[in-house]
Amino acid sequence: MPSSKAGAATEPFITLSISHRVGQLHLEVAFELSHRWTILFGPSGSGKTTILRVLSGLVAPESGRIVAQDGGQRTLLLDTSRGTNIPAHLRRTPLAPQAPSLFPHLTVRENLEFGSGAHPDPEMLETFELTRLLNQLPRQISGGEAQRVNLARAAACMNPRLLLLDEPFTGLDLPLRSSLVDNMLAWQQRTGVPILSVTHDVAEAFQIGAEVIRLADGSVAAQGAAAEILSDERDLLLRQLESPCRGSSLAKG
Amino acid sequence: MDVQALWLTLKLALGTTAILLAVALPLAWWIASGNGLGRAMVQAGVALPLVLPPTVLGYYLLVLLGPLTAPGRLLIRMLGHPLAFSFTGLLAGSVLYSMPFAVQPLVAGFRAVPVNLLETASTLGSSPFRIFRMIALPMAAPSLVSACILAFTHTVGEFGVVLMLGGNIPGATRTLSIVLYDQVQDFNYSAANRTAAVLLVFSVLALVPLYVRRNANTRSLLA
Repeated sequence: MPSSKAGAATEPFITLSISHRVGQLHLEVAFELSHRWTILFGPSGSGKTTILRVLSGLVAPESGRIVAQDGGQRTLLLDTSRGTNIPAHLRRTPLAPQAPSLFPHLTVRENLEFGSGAHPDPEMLETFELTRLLNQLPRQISGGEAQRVNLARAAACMNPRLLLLDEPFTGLDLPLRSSLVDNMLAWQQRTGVPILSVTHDVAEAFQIGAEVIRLADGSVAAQGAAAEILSDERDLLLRQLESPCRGSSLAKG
Repeated sequence: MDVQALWLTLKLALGTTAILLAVALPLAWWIASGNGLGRAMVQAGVALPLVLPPTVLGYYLLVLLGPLTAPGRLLIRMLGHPLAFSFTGLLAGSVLYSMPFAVQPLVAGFRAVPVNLLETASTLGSSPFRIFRMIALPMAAPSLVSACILAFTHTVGEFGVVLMLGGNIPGATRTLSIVLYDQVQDFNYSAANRTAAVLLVFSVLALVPLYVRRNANTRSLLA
């Protein structure tokens, strides 16, 4: 398990190497996860979501191997050469999909209880600001609230090995995104469950201060601290924010 | 009014609906959860009674269940009597005949459940059976109601299969639609009127709830 210090590296707890073809894209990816929070960073269509789906067991890659190290215990989640493929419901890798897939016939409370079978932890409800929504149905809450339930539901899952978040903060306004990132970090501080999330948002990667795996053309281009891996993007972003002409042209456009 | 025939008809329709639910739920779930030739062939087989003349279905069942075929002989040896011309035989025929009316709405209902909900449920640790029970079945509940109503009313209205397979044995295989046929044969039109009216009123009453539900759903979508 990762250490309690945020972002600190430990022994790898997931080792993945897969080869898979989706449409035009040929994924040839290998990496190790050893940080509390790792971000898969890359443009749309670079295979980020597919990697999450392979990790969670929803997609079987053409070939590959995924090993999980949990304390002293080593579990083979996938090994196509041996025909091993642990089904999604036994992997303990809950996935919060990009579009909040709340069960429409269940209340927020029942959605939260779905993966744990237990009453939601009051501290978690506090962290995600869900206490007053518990008896609402998904159609009665806002998009931002639904996204909070989506994340909290995956986080509330029983004994997760790794939490998978697919663009968890995309499409949310900046203050809401900031508060949700803080919610997730606070939750992680308490539980120590590692997170792998997907984004193409530079600012988000810096706010989390996570380890970044950069994907390009279906393979891992670089892996390391956000400041190091995304320095070019950061400079570009800062230039865009500082340049008055660029700003005004954007405002007009 | 032939109360015995009315009671037998209701018993047959209830029994058929109950058996169909037990068969159609897993079958429809299996059909809806994938594609491929195997599923398409099963679906075609299930849909066959929609286009096959009921007398043809009844005829084949009569032959199959009789002493001329190996399965028929096996059944006769096991039961001690032929399945044809008995209530049980009629039940078997009705189940096959009304199968598409139970399976098709359920397949449509299960297919309408978004795949991402099923996938999310499985990554949250739910077994396939729990996903079926907690997500698919409740979300397809309106289709389940349709399936029950259609299977029940279709069984009440069947004639060709009953005539071929069941004959006309009071208390065992003589249903209301057979009674009506007999009454017309006997030129007993006043009795036939009453029997026909019972069947008509019954069918309308059974169908109304189906459309009340459907229209309510449509309205809520527009609102």
